[in-house]
Amino acid sequence: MTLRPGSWLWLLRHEMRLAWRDLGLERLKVLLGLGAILWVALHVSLAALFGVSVDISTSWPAGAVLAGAALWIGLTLMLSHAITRSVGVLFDRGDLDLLLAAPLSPRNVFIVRGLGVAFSSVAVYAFLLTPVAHVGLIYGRPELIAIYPALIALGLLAAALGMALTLALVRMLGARRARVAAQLLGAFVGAAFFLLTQAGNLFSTERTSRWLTDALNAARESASLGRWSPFWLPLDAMQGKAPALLALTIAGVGSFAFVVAMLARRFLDGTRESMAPVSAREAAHSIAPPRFRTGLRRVVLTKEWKLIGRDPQLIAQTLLQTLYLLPALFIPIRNVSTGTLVLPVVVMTAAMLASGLAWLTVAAEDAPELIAAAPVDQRRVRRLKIAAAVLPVWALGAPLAVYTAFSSVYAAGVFTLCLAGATISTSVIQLGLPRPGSRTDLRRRAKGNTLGALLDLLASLGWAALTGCLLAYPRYAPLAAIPALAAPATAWRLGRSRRRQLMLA
Amino acid sequence: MPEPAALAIEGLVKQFAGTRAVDGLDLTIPQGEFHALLGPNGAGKTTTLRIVAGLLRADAGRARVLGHDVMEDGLAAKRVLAFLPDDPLVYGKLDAVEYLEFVAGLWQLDPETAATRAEELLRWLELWPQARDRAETYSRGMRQKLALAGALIHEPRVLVLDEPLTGLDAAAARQVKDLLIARVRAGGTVILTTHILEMAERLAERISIIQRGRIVAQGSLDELREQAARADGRGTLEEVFLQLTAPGS
Repeated sequence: MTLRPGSWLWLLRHEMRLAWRDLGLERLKVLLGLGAILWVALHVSLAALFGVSVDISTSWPAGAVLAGAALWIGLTLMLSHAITRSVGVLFDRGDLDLLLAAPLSPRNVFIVRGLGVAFSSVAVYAFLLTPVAHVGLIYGRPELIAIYPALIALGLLAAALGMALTLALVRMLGARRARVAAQLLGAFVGAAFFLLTQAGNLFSTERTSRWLTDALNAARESASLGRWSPFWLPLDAMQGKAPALLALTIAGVGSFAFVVAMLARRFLDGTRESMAPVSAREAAHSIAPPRFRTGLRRVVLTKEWKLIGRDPQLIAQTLLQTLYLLPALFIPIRNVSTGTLVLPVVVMTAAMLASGLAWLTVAAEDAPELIAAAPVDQRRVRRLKIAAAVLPVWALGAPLAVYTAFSSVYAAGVFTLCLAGATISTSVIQLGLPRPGSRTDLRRRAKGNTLGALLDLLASLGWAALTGCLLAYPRYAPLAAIPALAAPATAWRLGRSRRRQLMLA
Repeated sequence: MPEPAALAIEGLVKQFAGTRAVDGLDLTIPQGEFHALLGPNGAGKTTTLRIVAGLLRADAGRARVLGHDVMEDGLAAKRVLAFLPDDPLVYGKLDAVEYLEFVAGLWQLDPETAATRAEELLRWLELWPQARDRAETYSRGMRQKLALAGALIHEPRVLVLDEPLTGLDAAAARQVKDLLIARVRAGGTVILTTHILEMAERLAERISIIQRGRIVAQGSLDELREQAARADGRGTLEEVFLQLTAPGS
């Protein structure tokens, strides 16, 4: 299809192409293949379900509440995604200069960016929900085709709210801080939802299901969930109920149109502000004469901690990685004495945290040439960088060690020793098998360093197991110590040539 | 005893995957000289400078900075040397003062002297009004100037710069040039690579032309003209350079 260059459809095609390529061409075929299989499987499973009952609200009354709640949670996640995506198109893409310098309507640019946000926010839900519409057509529920317009309306609503919220943050905090705040907000909404889905792993299945049933019954009887409650709006709209679908469409299209009409100018101003170098802004505050501190240890530790501490996004990423790890760790321990097993979990979490921080201080050094050119013992600098990574983790673990000491000095000793061992081991792996990268690649640091990532995991698991064994099954401790100690030793031995290449030998 | 050369390189060799980037290079630069190292892309200029700065290990040969062997006595060589790469990275989350404090710490300078020097440099390079803003908000030229301030804070006797004017506007380029001239007038040695031949022509006392990892010509501009056999003595450095580095020359 030939589109008029510069038209909003032409821009939209450009936007879609970029979004598509963001997926990564090398992963595209695999993703498409897996996606197609999953989509067909969804149709088949839904067909089986529709064969049993076509009306969820009559077969399982609480199910309607659950479906309604799921849609609202989905909308929250869409919003979180829309915020993150808005930040991306507002600050990160880097092509706005080009687009705005071209003889295109800035409003068209804004509309297309908004549609891109809407599309990407709703894509996953379309994948999951459109099979319901298709199966509904076969099983005599044609009204479920309303899922399509309802999803479009929800996407537009999420995009409008996401962009409006992002711009409100820009207004309140300034462009740079807003970027961080929006990313944190989006990430934490996602993480909170993830933890919610893992409630079954965190608590016993019996307890979870009892809590869920009680909550659903209470919700069903609640006056706030009456016939005309907004709670039912997305569910009713998707079931083809005309007033609800109309209301949702008006809300979606209306809010998007409103945001475009009212906020396009501010959006573009916010972008320009974020892109402008400081010389273009006011920087004329009075500056006190500098006072320098002395000592290599102090300057290296201060520098590393400042670089991490001033990057909330980095902290969030580091902590979120740990947060995502927690439910998985609880799976094997929920039926075992918690007292004995909390400490290994903390040791493993600390090891992962130290690994991430060590990667930041060692591999993601922003100015390696500056440090290499300095007249200092490079090994000492590297030791200080490892210290910068492990000391904050030790500080976080210290209160638990003290708390444990009140009930068992032995357990506190084991915990302290294993915490130190685990954090040093994973940090040494980062030093032993270095893979230089940019700080922004923290979450993708395992890419291209599979061996390092495996050894990292092995060391973390080994130290967690060693902690558990020393506390509960001492005779197995030597067995657990093998991976704990072998992983860093292996990394050091295998990474010799890589270190030499990077002049770290 | 004669004073040691600012830089003395003998038979330097560096290979990458079987290809000789530097192939037996010899170069001597006396103290107090403004020296330009020219050559086509991939000639071995940056590799040579990185070896001199202690960032790469040579496969063979020697390099001495003010008499200190960069391989055997690397720390002593680094103390008197500053190296500014072509795309210097500064820490975006640190402000200019914090960055210079870190660099001063690496060179183990006296804190009070370093703080005074930092203020002088930032004022000289017109970065003082933004001294407390994080470097992530700086333009490329400002980051380049901050990196230059970092290179100068320990008052190096030998300053090695790889393409120092890349990305600088005319005003900033002028500031940097003035600063380099001042260093040489104060007795320092400046060695730089540049693709801006006019800069080399106007500033450098002597010029070395490097090609395929070897020095193919060296001397003042007049001497280079002679080497390029331009008897009229009126050829620009560009013409001389193109003649000396032409394929088959």
